[in-house]
Amino acid sequence: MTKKDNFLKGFFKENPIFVFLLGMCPALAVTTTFETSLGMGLLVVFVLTSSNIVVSLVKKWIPHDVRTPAYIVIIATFVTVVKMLTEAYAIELYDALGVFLPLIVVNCLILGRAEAFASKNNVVDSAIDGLGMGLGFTLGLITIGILREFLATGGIMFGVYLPIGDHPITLVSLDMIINLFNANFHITDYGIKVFSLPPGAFIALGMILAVFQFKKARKDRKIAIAKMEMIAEKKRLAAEKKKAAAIKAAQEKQAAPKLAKAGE
Amino acid sequence: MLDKLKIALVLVVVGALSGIIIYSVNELTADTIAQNKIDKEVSYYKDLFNLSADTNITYDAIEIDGYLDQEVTIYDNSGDVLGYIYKATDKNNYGEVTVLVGIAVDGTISNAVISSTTNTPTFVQTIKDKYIDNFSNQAVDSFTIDSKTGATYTYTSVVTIIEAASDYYLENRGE
Repeated sequence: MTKKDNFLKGFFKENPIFVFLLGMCPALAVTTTFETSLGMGLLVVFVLTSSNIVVSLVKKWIPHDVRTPAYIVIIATFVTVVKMLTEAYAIELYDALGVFLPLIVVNCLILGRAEAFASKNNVVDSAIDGLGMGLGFTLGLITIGILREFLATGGIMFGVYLPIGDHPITLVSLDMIINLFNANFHITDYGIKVFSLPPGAFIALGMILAVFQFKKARKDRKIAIAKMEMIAEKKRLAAEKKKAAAIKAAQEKQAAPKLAKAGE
Repeated sequence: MLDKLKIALVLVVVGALSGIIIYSVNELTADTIAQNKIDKEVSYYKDLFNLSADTNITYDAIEIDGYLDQEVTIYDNSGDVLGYIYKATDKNNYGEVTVLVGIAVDGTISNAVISSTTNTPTFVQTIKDKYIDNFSNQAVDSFTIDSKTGATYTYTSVVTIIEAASDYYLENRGE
């Protein structure tokens, strides 16, 4: 596997959320808005990349019997560091993520990558794997976050939780279009509120997984059809070959008495 | 035996390094976190008396023995008492709920806020969004509670703290 493939595999082919269904707890709990999803994703990228690097560095010295507790201590250290830094420099994000920030420790994606990849590969590949998988995880969270926030409020805000800029800004809002015709219309009054609640997370995730499964099924069907066509073509070729062989054999059979007569 | 010692030594080293890293980051961020907590607490004080974020207030906090943790006296710019804030933490089956209750000098509940909790976030949000504001402007000696929501653990904890704050106010500050 090339370094590029190693980096890109986490985005779609082996996406932790939509393909492996890993890290479902934050995927359902903190994806209320685009910004909380992005915040959680970035924290996971940091923890996953750092823990992969350290696990890869120390793998030779950690006895096989105690590798899991040792990896958990390493992951927990990075999560604690991230928790303190977030509490100090992004207090709104810290409040919004709540208990799910320390729960990154038990995100099976992080321990899974440490165990399955970092403990068997070199530092550079482990770092690339951590970064790629982390960004793939972030992409998954952001997709759910955007869908949920847009359906619940009719727009996407930025700058509420992350310490970027002085004031929150509206990235997208249906108000921008509708207010051209009706100035008193507020799309937030008509948002589907359930999408900002936990049941909405399940519905949004289900919708996105359905799209992924539909695309996968269509791809599988195309492959199956191509396979069937190839088998049919092979059968046809084999039949033609058999037919040609039979004709040849019959011709040889007919030609054999004539040759014998000519010989006499 | 040596193998077991080696395993123990590795775990000790991993734990020690982890501790050193966490200690260093804590040293780096402790002051900022403490300042953030103070700023947050002050912003709650302003919210409790419906003051804008840029209003200057001074306050005097004292620890209280008993169910309530703290009484904070809030003064405006001219040094007049705006009211009192009572802080307490109640434990229920789902964890802890810390509530700040603001009581104005005229004996009405100015507002109450849940400053931190380990209860189920969805239930807490429902209480914050729909029910906690109902205590505003009610007299401390005769406020009503929502009997339907009163069945939830979070709401029960909030009510318990508001009742304790009201009792304390009537006993010590009421005229």
